[in-house]
Amino acid sequence: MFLDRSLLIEEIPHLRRYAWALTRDFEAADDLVQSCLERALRRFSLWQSNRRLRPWLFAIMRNLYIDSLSYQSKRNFYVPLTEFNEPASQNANQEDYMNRQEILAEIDRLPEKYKEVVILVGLDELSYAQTAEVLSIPLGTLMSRLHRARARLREKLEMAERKTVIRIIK
Amino acid sequence: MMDKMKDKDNPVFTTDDLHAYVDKKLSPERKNQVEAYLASHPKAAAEIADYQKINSAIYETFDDGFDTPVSSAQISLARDWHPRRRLIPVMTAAAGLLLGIGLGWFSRDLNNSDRPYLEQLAQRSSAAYVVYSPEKQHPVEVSGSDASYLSSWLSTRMDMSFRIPKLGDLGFELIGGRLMIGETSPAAMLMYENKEGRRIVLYVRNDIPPTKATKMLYARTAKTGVVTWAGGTVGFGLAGGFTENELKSAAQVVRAQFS
Repeated sequence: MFLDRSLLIEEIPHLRRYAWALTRDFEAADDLVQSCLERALRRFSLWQSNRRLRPWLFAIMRNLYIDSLSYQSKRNFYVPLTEFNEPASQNANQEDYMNRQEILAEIDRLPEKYKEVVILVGLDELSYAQTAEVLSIPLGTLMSRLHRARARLREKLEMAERKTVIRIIK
Repeated sequence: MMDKMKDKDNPVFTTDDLHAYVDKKLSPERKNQVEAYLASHPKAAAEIADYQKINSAIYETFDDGFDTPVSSAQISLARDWHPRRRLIPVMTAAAGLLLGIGLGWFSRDLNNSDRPYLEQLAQRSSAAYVVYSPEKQHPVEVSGSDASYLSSWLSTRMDMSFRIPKLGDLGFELIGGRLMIGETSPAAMLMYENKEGRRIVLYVRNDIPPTKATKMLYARTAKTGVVTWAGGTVGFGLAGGFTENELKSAAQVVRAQFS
């Protein structure tokens, strides 16, 4: 009920990373963060302090983003990750940059539900349970999508032995 | 193949454990077990390494989020936004009332509009003194031995240029500081001590409604005297078991160094 605003301010850089990952556009991301903060502040009385702040904010932001898609042109969805990845300035990093570009391009080709999981987990902002909460899916679904997404990426990228040896074992 | 994970000598891992390893979400003990397993299973290790590459591609692409400064519009939105119907924080009001009763009244000749903030500052400063100054082991969170670190830490957390006042001329050495609770953003407390071991506490917050520079207000409780003043959005309270004149002259020194 009592919002320590400094907690909210500390979340802004984390929100911004997620906003970048969603929109792939600095300006759109800033707007999204702004809307997310506004909605969070208006709804703060609904937040229970035993819940973690970050997943709550991430869920608000994701909902806002999805809502905005139905109004805006859908092309936002197709801004590729690779355009967001700035070219490495030093030659030493050139190879890393190319490898990264390849990986990002493959992530972009994944079906939306896999892409979303692999990116949100890759941002490393939340626990698995919190990630599932943000995406409104059960934890088991999250884990199986994560595995499928990664296994598929590995296959497409023809990494290593070109074969996934880790099988699903429960 | 992963079926070997079920060897008698090896602990059993699930796929989830291996992804959790990639995502650094395992306990140290579990992590060691997975690493021991991977050391003798190169194919699984290669797969894990590929997953780690995928992860770092994503992480690094959005890495700048931590380096780029947050827009001040967003900070002020988060800090200053108020709902139209503001809920009165009942607990804060009650705590203030209790302290207020202990604090007695204040001296004259102030702008009435300044009073509420200065009274509240006096309550907070007095509370900070009462709670922390008797503390032997942990009077502060961050030691004053590295004043420049303390200064940059508090500047960041309080979103202001926070200089650490020097009270050496008055015989007080800095012990250190800690973060405190303001109304809508963090506040800070600095603690100083003289050769006789008597302590003085400076409470600072950066979230009061903007005001012109105020006069200094002195108040007294059973345990401490407090001098408060404010300017801009920053409010100050200096509390300690000293006379009004002693506190006010120390407050002048602090005020001069902050302006």
